[in-house]
Amino acid sequence: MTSKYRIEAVEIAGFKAFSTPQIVPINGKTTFIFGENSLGKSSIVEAIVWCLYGTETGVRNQLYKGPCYVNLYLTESANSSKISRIQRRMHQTDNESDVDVYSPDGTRKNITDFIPQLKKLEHGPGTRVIFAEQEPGRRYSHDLNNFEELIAAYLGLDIAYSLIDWLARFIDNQEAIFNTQVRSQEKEIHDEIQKRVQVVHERIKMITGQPPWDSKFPPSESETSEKVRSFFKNISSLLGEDNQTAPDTDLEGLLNISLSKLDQLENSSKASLEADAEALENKQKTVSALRDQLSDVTQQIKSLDETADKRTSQLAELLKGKSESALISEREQLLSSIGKLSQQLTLIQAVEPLVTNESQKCPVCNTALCADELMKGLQSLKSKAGEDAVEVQNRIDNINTLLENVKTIKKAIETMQISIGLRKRSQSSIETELSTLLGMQQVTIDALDAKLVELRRSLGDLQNKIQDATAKFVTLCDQLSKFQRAAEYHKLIRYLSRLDAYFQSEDHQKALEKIREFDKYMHSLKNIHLTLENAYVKAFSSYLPILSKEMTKVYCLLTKQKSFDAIRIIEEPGNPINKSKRKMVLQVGSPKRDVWVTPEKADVLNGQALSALNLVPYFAFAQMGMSKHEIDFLLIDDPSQSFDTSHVEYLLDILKPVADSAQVIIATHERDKFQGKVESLFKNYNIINVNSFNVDSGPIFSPVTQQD
Amino acid sequence: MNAKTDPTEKFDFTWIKNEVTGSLDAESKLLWSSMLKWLEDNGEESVRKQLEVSTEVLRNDTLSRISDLKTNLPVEE
Repeated sequence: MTSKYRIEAVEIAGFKAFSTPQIVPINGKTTFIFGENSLGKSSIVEAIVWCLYGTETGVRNQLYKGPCYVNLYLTESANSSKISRIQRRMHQTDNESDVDVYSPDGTRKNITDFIPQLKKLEHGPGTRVIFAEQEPGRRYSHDLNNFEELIAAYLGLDIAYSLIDWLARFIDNQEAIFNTQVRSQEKEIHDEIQKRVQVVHERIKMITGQPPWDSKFPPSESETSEKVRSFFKNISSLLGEDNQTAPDTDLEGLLNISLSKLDQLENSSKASLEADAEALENKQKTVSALRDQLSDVTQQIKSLDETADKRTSQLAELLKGKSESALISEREQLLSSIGKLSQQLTLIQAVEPLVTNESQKCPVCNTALCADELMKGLQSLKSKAGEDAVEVQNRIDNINTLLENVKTIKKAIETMQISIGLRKRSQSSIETELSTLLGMQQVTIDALDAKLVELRRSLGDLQNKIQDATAKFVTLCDQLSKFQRAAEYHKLIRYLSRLDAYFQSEDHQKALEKIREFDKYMHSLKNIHLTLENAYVKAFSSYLPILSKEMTKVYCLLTKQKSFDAIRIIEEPGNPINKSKRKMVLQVGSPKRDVWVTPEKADVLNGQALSALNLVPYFAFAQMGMSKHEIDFLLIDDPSQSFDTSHVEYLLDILKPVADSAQVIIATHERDKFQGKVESLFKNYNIINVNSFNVDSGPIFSPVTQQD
Repeated sequence: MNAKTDPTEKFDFTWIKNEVTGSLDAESKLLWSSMLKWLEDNGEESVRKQLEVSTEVLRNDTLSRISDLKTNLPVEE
């Protein structure tokens, strides 16, 4: 699967220092890019890295309005005539980018198919790239925890490292998914069954707390069925259906038809008795009310009769044996008398003036008349007539008053008689109604009272009968209710049995078996992960003294440290088994005095030593098993800052063997320090001189190829 | 670093493979052997894919049985 590639050229547009598209020729060779700072030489190295990984953002040249892209032209080591192209383009609208790979035949490929397992600081059977810079990602390179993957790659342990890392995440992830998707459902089922079993047990306990059976132990379902059949027959018998037997059905069916029969019984006997009692009670109430009415009317008639009699006596007393017409006749005569007396008085009044003092002779008998005597006679007559008239008038008035009183009394008597007549009619009507209601020939209060006593007795008898029927019905209902509870008990026992069977069922056991299978599988994976991790840690740890020695060697050559002249890599104390908690630290120290410090924590190194320290891991790793691990590219940006010439020479000494198997690309601003040594050590290489910078186009460079 | 001191001669991935194989129980060893075979045939990505597929199949199979079981939960008459 391994395809060792070489970079033939890089086409850069709109990227960092580059504006208009420019092609940088690399020709598949080790290349030194020389140029002063700020002319854009680093942009060439960074363009290669960006094209491969695309992780860096904010790479667009802000002064250039054209597209931002990098084309990397690659040839296979085995066949340099076949050129593939990797193109990465920055989106116009965001900081994302797309990458495409074009095969030599022009077909488009996915980059992961083209360069399998390509990633930053790549390792494995695909292309390997080291991009060394002094402060990669704004962090110290001697912070070795960020380099374990790289170290593992150089030690040939990369697959183990990668597998351990992936397996840990995979196991956690899969267990979480399984717990969420599967185990939770199984638990849900388990909990649901447990809940139902508990509820059923509680219901059974409620039934057995007041057992609906007489025996010490619950009857069997068939025994309960037999009892319900007998019960059904009993009710049928009470309904007069002596020969009826229960149909051949289950317990629930038997209970249903028994309930129906019980309803029938209630309707046919008890209900009928209650209806009779109600009718009798109504009759009794009606008779009682009519009896009271009759009594009242009779009493009223009697009272009216008595009052009428009194009035009649009073009338007789007023008339004193006279009739009313006699009184009227007398009054007529008196009126006539009073008329004569009135004439008499008128005549006397007419005669009185005729009487004088002279003697008078009676014109009739010629008798001499004395005037005084005449006047006396006239006065006497006049007085007598007046008195008689008053007497007669008084008598007339008395007769009038009497007649008026007679009239009033007679009127009252007449009213009473009408009233008596009306009551008598009502009395007759009540009597007729009672006679019809009770079938009596002669209706009397006494007879009615006797009849009412008789009715009350009958009603009492009926109510007793109803009570008996109700008691009997209640007993039957209780009996049926007990059978129903017994039936529920049998049903719950059956349900418990089904729940238990469900638990024991083949399907459930198979599901549980599958879960166990998954657990075993995960257990195996965890075992593998743990064992692999232990072996990896053992192998990795065994390299640490050798790595320390190698780094010390590189470090001493690159710096002039007198004290703190050694490097060691150790594991900080912690859990050595759990890789995620293991921490490697790089320390500088003095072995003779056995004093070791971590550089970022102690101010013991000068600037040059710190700068060298950043590159030490790369150079140390780069020398380890290069051919074996097939390093393809080693890209180094400005490695020699603060180095003196002798150290640059050493740096090139150690890069020379790397360049035998990998394509090394180094950018540096220190041409003077590098060029002589490069010329003496290397053959068949490129030099790209970045001479100046144009704002419109970008870096201006001139490539020079050195041949053997 | 010369070839004689190159520690990868001893503690390389082959050593790790043997170390792991020798330490596992029978069941885990079977799975580990499969993983090594996938690794040898098609690389690390293949190991991941195979394990992902196997786990998914096992999980789905279990899930299907559990779902059936849930559907057939006994109900009261």
